[in-house]
Amino acid sequence: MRTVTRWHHALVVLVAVIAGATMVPVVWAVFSAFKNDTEIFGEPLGLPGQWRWENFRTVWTSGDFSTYFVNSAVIAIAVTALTVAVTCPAGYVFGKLATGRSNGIFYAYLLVMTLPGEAIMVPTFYQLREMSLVDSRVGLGLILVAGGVPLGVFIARNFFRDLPNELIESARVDGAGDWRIFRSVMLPLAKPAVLAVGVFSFLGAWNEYQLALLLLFSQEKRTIPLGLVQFQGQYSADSGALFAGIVLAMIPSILVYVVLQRSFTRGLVAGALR
Amino acid sequence: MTSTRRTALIAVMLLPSLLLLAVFLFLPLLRGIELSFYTWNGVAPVMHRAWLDNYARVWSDPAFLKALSRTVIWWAMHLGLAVGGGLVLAALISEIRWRRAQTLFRGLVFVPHIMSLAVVGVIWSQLYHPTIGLLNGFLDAIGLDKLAEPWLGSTGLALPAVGVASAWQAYGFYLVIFLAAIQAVDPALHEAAAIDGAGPWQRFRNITVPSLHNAISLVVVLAFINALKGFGTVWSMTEGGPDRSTELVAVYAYRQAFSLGDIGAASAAGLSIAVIAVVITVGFNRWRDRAAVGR
Repeated sequence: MRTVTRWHHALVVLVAVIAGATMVPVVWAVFSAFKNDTEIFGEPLGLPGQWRWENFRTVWTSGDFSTYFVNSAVIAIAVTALTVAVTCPAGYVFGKLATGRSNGIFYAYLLVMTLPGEAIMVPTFYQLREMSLVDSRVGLGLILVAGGVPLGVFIARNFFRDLPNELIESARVDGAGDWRIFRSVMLPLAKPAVLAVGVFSFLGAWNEYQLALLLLFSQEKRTIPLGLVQFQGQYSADSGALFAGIVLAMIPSILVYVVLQRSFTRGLVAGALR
Repeated sequence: MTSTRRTALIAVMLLPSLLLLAVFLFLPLLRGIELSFYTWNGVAPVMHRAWLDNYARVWSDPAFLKALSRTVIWWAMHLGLAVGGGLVLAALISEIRWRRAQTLFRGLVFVPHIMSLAVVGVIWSQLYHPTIGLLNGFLDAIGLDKLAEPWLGSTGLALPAVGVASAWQAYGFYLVIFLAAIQAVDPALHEAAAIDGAGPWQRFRNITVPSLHNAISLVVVLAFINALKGFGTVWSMTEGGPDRSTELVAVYAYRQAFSLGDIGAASAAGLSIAVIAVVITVGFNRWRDRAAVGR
């Protein structure tokens, strides 16, 4: 028994070392956000001797991150709300209302998931330009909602499908129509699905880089990922401020992940093992 | 409720999502097919029909073929580092008997995956930075300063360096999938094997890996699709340089359009990738279904 325990302890230590090593770049970036260039190089993994909050002031004001942050936040929140609003009714249709007949349409949604967006980046640009949706935060938001539709519908459909049919029947006996049943009986039960879809679309929108690169070019419309890469090119002399920008870009993702980790992992596994 | 009313309700509930897919995914796809048949620089008022010329030009362009072979290398690195690393660490984590520690480690290694590719790219560009970077600083500190390199500035090292950054971002994702699959394996199998005297390696080799057959084959395809993507990490770190040494196919298509103004070739290259991705996904699914029937 003792050798088994010792082996188990060694295993825990080994995994802890690997997990710790994975976090090194993140920890390094966070510490460096509070240092100046000399300290970043001299004491790379040491705690900052003096917490230089002025790095954050630098990116926030002269680095324009206040603009980027607001753009990213507004887009991410709007995209999350719209994705949930669009995918829950569709998921309910495939899960409960029209199960047999609509299979063809449902598989069309799934097929879209295999199409890599990168492959049609260039035509997407010209298509959106024709609709006057380039260099527009609305255009970026709408295409992000569209990109989140397949996975969102998939998660919502699986969730509604697994809710008991008796709920629908007893509501129908009480005289409720299809819409009332969806709106007042089923949707209030769908909080886990709403959360999973919500976390996915929020992170997707907050983190989106290549579509923002493709579609936004005015300085005042840029989102955080775009602004961060640009800042890296321009302010190579002030690394502390760059790291502060990295931290600002990471904070919302990490907060959402930590608070809603269970919903997120559940949605992820469901999506991957489809 | 009459069935026409129900049909109307179904239509209303489906309409917004169908419209979004049609306008923002199907229209651009059709547009891409159209553009790939024309010669156009993106601004001229007229386009010239070129039929399959663009495809012929792209597939005989050495730069495209090189980008394609880099994509295959990228995929291999992704498989070895991200998928392989995720599998091994998932197996290790599943052996830990403290539930809390399992959850904590899984949560930690997944953190890189929730970050923007732009953030990943910028962090790793700084890590590889020749003077202030953590990597060269570390090599310096342990007396191996001879190994210090301008990682992203060297044509030979840039692709592997960017590949490592991308694997760092991705491996937690594969790990979560593998861990879920491992935890679905009947623990009685492991107990029976342990009673028969099988060590941890033998159990990994003979129980865990075979029962993960589905998850592994799925992840191999996912990794290939991810390799075809790979745009965000590359663009935020090197923009395809130095000297095009990190130019994957997606980067090739983007540059072809927005640096060289050759929209037809860019669309043809993009659609070629899309066809490869769909053929591989569909072919793989059919192969897996047939294999499942055979078993």
